[in-house]
Amino acid sequence: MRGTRIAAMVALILILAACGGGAAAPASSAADATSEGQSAKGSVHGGTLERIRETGQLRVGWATLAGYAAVNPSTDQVEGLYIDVMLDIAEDMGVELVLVEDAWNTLVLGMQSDKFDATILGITDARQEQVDFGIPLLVSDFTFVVKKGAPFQSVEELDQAGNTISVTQGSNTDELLTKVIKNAEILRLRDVGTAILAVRNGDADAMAAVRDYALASIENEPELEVVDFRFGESIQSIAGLKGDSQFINYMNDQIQRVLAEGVVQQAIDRHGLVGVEVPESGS
Amino acid sequence: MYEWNWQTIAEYLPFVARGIPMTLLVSFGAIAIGVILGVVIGLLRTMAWPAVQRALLWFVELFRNTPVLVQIVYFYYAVPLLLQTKIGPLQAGIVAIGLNTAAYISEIVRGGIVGVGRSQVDAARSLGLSKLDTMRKVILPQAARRMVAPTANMFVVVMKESALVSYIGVAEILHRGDVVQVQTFRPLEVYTMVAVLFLLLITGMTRLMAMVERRWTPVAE
Repeated sequence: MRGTRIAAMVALILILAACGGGAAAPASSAADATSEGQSAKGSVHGGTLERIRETGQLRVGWATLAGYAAVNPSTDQVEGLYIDVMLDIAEDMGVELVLVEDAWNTLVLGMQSDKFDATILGITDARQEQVDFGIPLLVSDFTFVVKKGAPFQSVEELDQAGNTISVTQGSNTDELLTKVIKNAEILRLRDVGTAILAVRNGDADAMAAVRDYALASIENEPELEVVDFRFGESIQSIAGLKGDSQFINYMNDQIQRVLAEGVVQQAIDRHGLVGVEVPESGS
Repeated sequence: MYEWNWQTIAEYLPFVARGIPMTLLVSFGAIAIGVILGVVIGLLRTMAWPAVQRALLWFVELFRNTPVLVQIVYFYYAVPLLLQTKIGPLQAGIVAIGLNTAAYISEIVRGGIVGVGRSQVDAARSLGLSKLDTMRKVILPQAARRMVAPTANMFVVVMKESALVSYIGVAEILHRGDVVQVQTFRPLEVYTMVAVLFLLLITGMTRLMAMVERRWTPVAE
């Protein structure tokens, strides 16, 4: 009987502990790896700017991408170019930056579910049907990683029946690759690590990725190289809820500011990113 | 030829191991919900009005016949929209896995009760015991001993399923492994590390459950 009571108490404590979790962590120079979104008042559709001002928090969704938004195991903080840019914007707005982790294929859903107010994403047709994007913030090539000595000199040579191209499932790379590639098989995998592994093991002839990320991913891979040719251009920008033009217009002003003040270029240099650039003026 | 880099494990093991408390929190939180709710549902499915029993059968079928990952995603994204509320990833994960576990445990409970011979019920009732007293004093003590082994198996399943909450950003063992994998691009070494940590945790759990089983299961029927 006593044992039963103890077990019941333990169970109750565990349930209460589980219900007590979920508080958001604010960002300073970098953000807590376990930060979650906190409740915010105000309407979901439109009025994002108003809600940010009311709550004093800019909630930003992020998915793991080394160099852009990823947990640094040494510090347990979320770091990267996207974080630096959004932190600068939050500071300029005089609000707190709250980071909410998500996955690449559910970032749009996360915003629509009111988990966060904004995120930085590659612009694709499918995403533009679901969210609104600001003006270009970053530009990079879509290209391929192959084994050294591979015979491919162009997209057409790679896009042949019998060839396999690996890619991170749900990414903007995946979406463009699906449109461009007609004959080769596309192998959609969970992340870049497993996609690279597929090329190493010979399960794929190439991995598709944004050039800067492709270069980073093969730093310690002497058998792999990034090809010169590309299959498209990746333009990245801040995304907000569909129809919230007030918020997007405000973010456009912020994007112009961070570009003009060199915030983006400094972040690119700070994180050692190669193959990604600020857009040319007027684009 | 793949070149293994075991230095990755040595370097990042402490970081990944810091996910253990979260894995345990998710697992035991879900187990607590699953056991409490599962026992209640199992009992009601044998004792309640037919309409209630049917409704509970729908609950069991829903959670047993859909993937746990889909349930987790649903609780995190869809349920807050439907109920116009906020649910954090940790809570969503624990509730989803907990309800899934409750569905399975309710069937274990129901099976344990149904497995007690009808003659036991008849004898208890003929001695003047009410339905409730028959269940409480005659059926359940016998049924409980039959439930220990399958329930222990469920605990192992739940601990493995806890890794699915990494999908919604809960920083347990697998999620931390993914963090390392993104930085190092060494998935094989990282997932080996994750597998070993889960092996150690779950082996510990099975030893504990074996002790409980020896304590509660009769030597001979």
